[in-house]
Amino acid sequence: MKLWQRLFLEERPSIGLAFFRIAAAVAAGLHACPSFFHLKEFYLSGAFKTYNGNFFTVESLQLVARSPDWLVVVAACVLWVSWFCFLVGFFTQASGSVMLAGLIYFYALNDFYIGSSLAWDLLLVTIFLLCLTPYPGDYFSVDALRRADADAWRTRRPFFIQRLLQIQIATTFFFTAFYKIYPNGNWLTGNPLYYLMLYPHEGTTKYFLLREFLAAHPALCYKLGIFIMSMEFLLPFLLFWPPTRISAIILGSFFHVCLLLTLDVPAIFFFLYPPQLLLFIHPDKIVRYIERKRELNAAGKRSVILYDGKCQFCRASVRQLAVMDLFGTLRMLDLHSGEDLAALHPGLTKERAVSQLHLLEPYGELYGGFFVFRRLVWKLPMLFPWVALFYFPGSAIVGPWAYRWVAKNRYLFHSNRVCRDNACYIKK
Amino acid sequence: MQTNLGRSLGLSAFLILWGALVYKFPVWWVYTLTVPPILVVNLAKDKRLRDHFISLFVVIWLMVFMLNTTRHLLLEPFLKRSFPGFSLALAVNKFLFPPAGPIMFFNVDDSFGFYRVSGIKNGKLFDLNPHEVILNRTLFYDNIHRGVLGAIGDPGSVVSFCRWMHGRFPEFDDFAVGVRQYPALKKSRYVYQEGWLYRCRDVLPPQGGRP
Repeated sequence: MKLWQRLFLEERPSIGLAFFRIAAAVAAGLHACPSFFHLKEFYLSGAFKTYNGNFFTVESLQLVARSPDWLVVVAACVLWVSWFCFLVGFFTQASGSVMLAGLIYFYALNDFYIGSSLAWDLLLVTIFLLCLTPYPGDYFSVDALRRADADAWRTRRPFFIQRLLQIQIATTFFFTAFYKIYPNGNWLTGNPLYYLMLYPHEGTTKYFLLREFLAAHPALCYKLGIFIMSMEFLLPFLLFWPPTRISAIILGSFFHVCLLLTLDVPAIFFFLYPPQLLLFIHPDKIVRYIERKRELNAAGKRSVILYDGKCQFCRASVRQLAVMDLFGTLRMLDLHSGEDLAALHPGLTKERAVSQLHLLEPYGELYGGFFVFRRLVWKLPMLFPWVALFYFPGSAIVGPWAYRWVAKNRYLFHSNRVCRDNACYIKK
Repeated sequence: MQTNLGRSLGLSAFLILWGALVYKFPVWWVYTLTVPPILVVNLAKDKRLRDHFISLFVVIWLMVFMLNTTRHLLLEPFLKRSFPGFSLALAVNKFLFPPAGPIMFFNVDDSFGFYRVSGIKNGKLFDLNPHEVILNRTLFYDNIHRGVLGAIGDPGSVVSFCRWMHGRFPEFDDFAVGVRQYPALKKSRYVYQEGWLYRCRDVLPPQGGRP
């Protein structure tokens, strides 16, 4: 009973699951979404379609095959939107469920493009597990920003989802290896790796660096095949045993990188499985690492965010920055707190400070407005994906204009419609 | 009090609906067994109740997820018998639970074959680039090299494929699907055999077959 409790019911931080949600969304998007740019070719009536009778019942396939074209178009739009919402963690559970329903719908409609493969089927199972609870939206998500909980990164949840994902990948490795030798596999009796190296240009094997070398050394190929099979057998045990866990994660990830570089197989293996291996890292260790970093940053000189504490919009923005500030790199300072602004930076006056958000770096550099966020995208993990946008050519012209527009019209984004020209006051 | 009553009523209504659904479509019953426990896990305020239903969900999930794989890979080959009674009236590998079958590269021999598509115009044959037959929109891997064109050799797909090709390449009068087979790569990587599998004009119905 205690073992069961420790395995599935114990509450542990869900930050690992939140990160994995992003990986799963990226894997699904990279695999499925390109096909929606050409709906006519793949999904509308007149497209060449094949049907997966192994995965779906005949009745389901017949029902979906009757879909009119307008429904397919609507479903594609809904899928795109739900996929994006799941990726950014906006109403995570609902958007993930809608996305999963859409992926299954299009899989039933035509499996020719997506193709019946273990990788795709397992991706659907993985997303199913992620949608069962709202836990994957606890952090690295818009949901976390909406809740404005600065401690969202240490939210504790029952561990069963993460554990089932661990079991899933471990059994995938195990049965993949098992099937290579029994009942129909020929990895002991034949030399599959060598044959793969001999495939012509039209085959699954890419023209990677060592291909011709391996094609000339069949004995080496056989030994490599045995090594790969042994590794797949051992990996589940190495992953679950703490002393070998990190090595197993590195080894498994390396295996999937090699798979992507050498064979034309669905890239789901590369985008999903290494992050899924990271789920074996104990989430309490991740939280302890973050706490240590926060303590170190708190003890040292931090960047200062200077904001107008009497502006509700500004206060809400700063609360959300606090949520995103995973490693505690920022000190939020209300300019009305009485601290001497000139002592902070000679260029700071109350008039200047109240005009826009400011960031004062420990080495003395002062940033304002748009350029504050341009600096923050390097400090706040949740903003890392936006680096390219903030440094896109022309952003230094468009960005400040956009910031000034938002600052001027911030009452439009806020429930307090009286807020204009920095005149938002909190009702007492 | 009202919230608890509303939640309980909603949950009960959903369970009745679920019961009606699996009564109408029996094949769905195993695959939706996880729905009631996960609903309780999401909605329950009481931690003990939540934990009980988490345990129930985990047991159901592991059993159904592992059932087909274990039966197909371990029990049936070892014991050399099938287990219809054990299958819980499951159709083989439906919906969420991945087939034990399509594990890649479990048996690779030294032969290789692939399908080729040619367009026919004024009696002349034109080889078509497979990447233009199925515009390859996969990222980080090549779907053609992965063997996606294998579907065009399926007898159940030839008519729809031919119809689609006429729409895709209207400039051609006809199409032919051939197969190239490398019978023994160990002996030679370059020796192959070729033949034609079918010609579209032979498989399409005489009238209305072409758009």
